[in-house]
Amino acid sequence: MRIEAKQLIRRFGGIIALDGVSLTVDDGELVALLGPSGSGKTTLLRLVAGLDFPDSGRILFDGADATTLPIQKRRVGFVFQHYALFRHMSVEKNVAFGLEVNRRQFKMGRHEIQDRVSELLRLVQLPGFEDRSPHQLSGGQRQRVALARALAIEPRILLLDEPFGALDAKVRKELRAWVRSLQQQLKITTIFVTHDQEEALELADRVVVMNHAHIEQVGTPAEVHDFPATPFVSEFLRGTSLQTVPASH
Amino acid sequence: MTNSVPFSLWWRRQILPGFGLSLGFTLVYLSLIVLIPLAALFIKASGIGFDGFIRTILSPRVLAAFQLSFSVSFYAALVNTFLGTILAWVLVRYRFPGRRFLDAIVDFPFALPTAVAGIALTAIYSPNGWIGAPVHALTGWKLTFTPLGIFLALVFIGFPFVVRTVQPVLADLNIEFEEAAASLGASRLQTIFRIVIPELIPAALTGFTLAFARALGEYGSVVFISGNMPMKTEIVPLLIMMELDQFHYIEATVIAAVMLVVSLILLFLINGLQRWGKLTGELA
Repeated sequence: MRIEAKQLIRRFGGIIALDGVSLTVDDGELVALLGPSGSGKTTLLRLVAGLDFPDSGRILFDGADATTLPIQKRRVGFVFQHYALFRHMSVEKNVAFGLEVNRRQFKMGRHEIQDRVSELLRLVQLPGFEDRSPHQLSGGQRQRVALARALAIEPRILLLDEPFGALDAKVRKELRAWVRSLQQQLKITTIFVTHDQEEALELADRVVVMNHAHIEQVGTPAEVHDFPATPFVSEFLRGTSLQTVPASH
Repeated sequence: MTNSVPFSLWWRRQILPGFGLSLGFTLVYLSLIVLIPLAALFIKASGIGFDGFIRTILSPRVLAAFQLSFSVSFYAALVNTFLGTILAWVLVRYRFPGRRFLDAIVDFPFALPTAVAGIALTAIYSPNGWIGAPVHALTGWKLTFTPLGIFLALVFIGFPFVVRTVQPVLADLNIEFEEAAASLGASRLQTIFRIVIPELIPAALTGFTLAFARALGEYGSVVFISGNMPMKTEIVPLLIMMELDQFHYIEATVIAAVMLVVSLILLFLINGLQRWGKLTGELA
């Protein structure tokens, strides 16, 4: 699905978090929002998700106005930095949650939900983990369960907020490559937030560099790396190397 | 030292120092303040003999007091669990003028002498008080000198326990859980019932236990508002006081001992329920 953000403004008290930000993300694209903390990248992601609403400006999903659409109606898969898995539920219950609260919409019986959950757990490479409890899983496993849970409702877009931020370096690298291939396999429009320059350059089709509530530059990893549009981008990306994961077609 | 390997192993596994000292200290003061007086209670009570024991406990007046004390305490604690949880929710989740003041007010029943609370409640809720008068005129209910009055007093002295146990748990409950539920399509009501409440149940149950235990032992506020009519509004602690006033020491200790045993059984049951809830919560 194509996402358009038009002139988004969001203030928190006296602080401006987004100052007239416009961005278009094409269908099936993987876009990284990159910037230092406080640059407005997470605010932008939350506005697209419907977890927060802009003071002015518009958000369009496939050309239709979604600015005031509540999150429940947006069908977005949102993955949190700290997973936000429901602690009192098993892995199976977590993944099934979106299907069970929307029984009317999905029209799935108990067995169909079970089948769908095992299918999703195979997709995130955790087959047979249905009965585990979240606290029995490692960080990387929890993040994959969170991804399976978000994918269960067949979201139109996938939004990831610092998805690898809480993981150690080795797991982070593995999970990165895996998310990239999964996204290409599912062809789902995806936006992720990161403050890690290499992560953005390695994963994304296009990188959106943000600073002080503004977008500094939008471009392919090669463009922002080789031809920084502003001094800030040049400074922020200095010292990073450009190595993309070979696309697995 | 060849035979001392198990001992030295045991000794080395104590990573925190001072275990022996702190345990010993705890046992000494627990014994002096709690265990020895309780043991004395049972020893004294046993002096009455089996027949006397049965006669004291099964007298209609004592039975009525037991029934009143346990049932009204239970209902007051139950209502407190809901009221206290809602108040904790308001204090944690919303920012409004006067929030800090309200937060401080919650501790009021802890600090106020309960007799003062009883007199104030009686003045307000009696059939010619500010609230009691219109309620009496509209519904004919009498809020004082009835079990309803006792209930009001027990709600008053019990609710801080629930607020103060639920509040920190709610404050620690990350808003991301609710956002995640909403992003998966859950309505606000579904989120509350499926995500928030299950997280709060253990704390709410602890608050219930504390409020219930406190209500069982409450004396000061109840004696003013209940009217203390035998068979009708006489609670167990009052009955014990009255026996003592008449120098019936053994009868008083017998009633106290039974009260203690029943309370202990109930508290253990609630504790067990809580552990069971935690276990199934983790395995489910």
